[in-house]
Amino acid sequence: MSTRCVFTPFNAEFPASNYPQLTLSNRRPVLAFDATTDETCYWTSIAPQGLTGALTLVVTYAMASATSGTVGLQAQIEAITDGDSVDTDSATSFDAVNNSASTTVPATAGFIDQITITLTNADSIAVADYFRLSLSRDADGSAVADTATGDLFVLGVELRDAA
Amino acid sequence: MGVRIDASADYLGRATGLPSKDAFTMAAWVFFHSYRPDSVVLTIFESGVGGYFIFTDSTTGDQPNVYDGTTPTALDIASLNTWYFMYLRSNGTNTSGGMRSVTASAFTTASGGTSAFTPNQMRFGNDDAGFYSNITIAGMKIWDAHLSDAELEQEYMTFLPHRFADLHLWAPAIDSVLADASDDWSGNARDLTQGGTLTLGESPPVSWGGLPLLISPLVAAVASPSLPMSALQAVKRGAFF
Repeated sequence: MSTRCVFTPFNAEFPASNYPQLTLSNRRPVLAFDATTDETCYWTSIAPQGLTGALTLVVTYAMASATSGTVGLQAQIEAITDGDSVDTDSATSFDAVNNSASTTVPATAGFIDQITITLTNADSIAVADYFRLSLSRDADGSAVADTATGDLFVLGVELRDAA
Repeated sequence: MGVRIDASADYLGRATGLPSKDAFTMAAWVFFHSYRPDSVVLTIFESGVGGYFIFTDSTTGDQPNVYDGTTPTALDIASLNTWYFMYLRSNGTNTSGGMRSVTASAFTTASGGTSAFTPNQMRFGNDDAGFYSNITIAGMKIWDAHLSDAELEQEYMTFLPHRFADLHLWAPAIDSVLADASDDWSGNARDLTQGGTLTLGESPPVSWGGLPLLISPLVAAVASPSLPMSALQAVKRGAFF
């Protein structure tokens, strides 16, 4: 496996509503995902040279206050190739959702954990594609059980490929 | 995060080392929780004399105005529960202001003249019992310069200032510790004073403005700007890109 992109809170982008709060936890930049409302953020990039094979996402997170329960994350890829007919002015073309496992949070708030999401649905991303990564917490547990209370702080996200 | 201003003593401001009233720009992201007639959003003024303001209309409080010390000029009707980037500036000849929501494609602007006063207060919100706002505010930036329309378009895009020349103060207000939420990150040590009983609020849906780290087989193509806080205190544009 090879690391292809690293995304941080300081390069996240946000929809106009239902987005995680950009804040600091002990002076560390974090994205605070709510425990009751599904919130989403994005990262935009160009698929780097060498990208190959199946993709996985590794999300480094810590809980603000929870010491028990589970969390669930969801990731989506939108990949647009030169010549594609996606009207970026008015449309999005995210592939189907990729769910994480329902994951038990660390027993101490602030301790980090890493959740791996296999990006089975990666919108046929290829080298040089313009792409966006969408990350959400499934706070309402509609697809992945998420029972932990309080904010989930995302500290960083790593995109790996099969090389 | 942002800072919640919602009571009669609440404001963020400074009273010393202020920019010239004839060459300044102040800007912030503002979220209106309710309409309050005559509520002050942005201002530079001299106590008991006059100043420049963005304040809401005196009837329903839903329409911010640019006030040049003599005449209010209306901006746009502000929707509740919506983030707006708002600015107030003067070049010594004209005083102007603007507002633009997160989904709008352009600023609504208004312009007036100038008036005589010697500024001794610069505030986001105001602590006067009759003029306080019910807002959350974040991403505050002040320059010792009159920014152009094109520059303000850029500043609308990110928390991170695009123009570092003449940057007087930069208080992003993202810290989860209230006492640190009014810190100045410009390197100029101009922390905002917190008036009243403030609380933490939400942050606007605005990117910080950093770049992702791409890793190819040969080189790390782009350096991440996600620097330690200590480095951000002494920020220089070149350090980020």
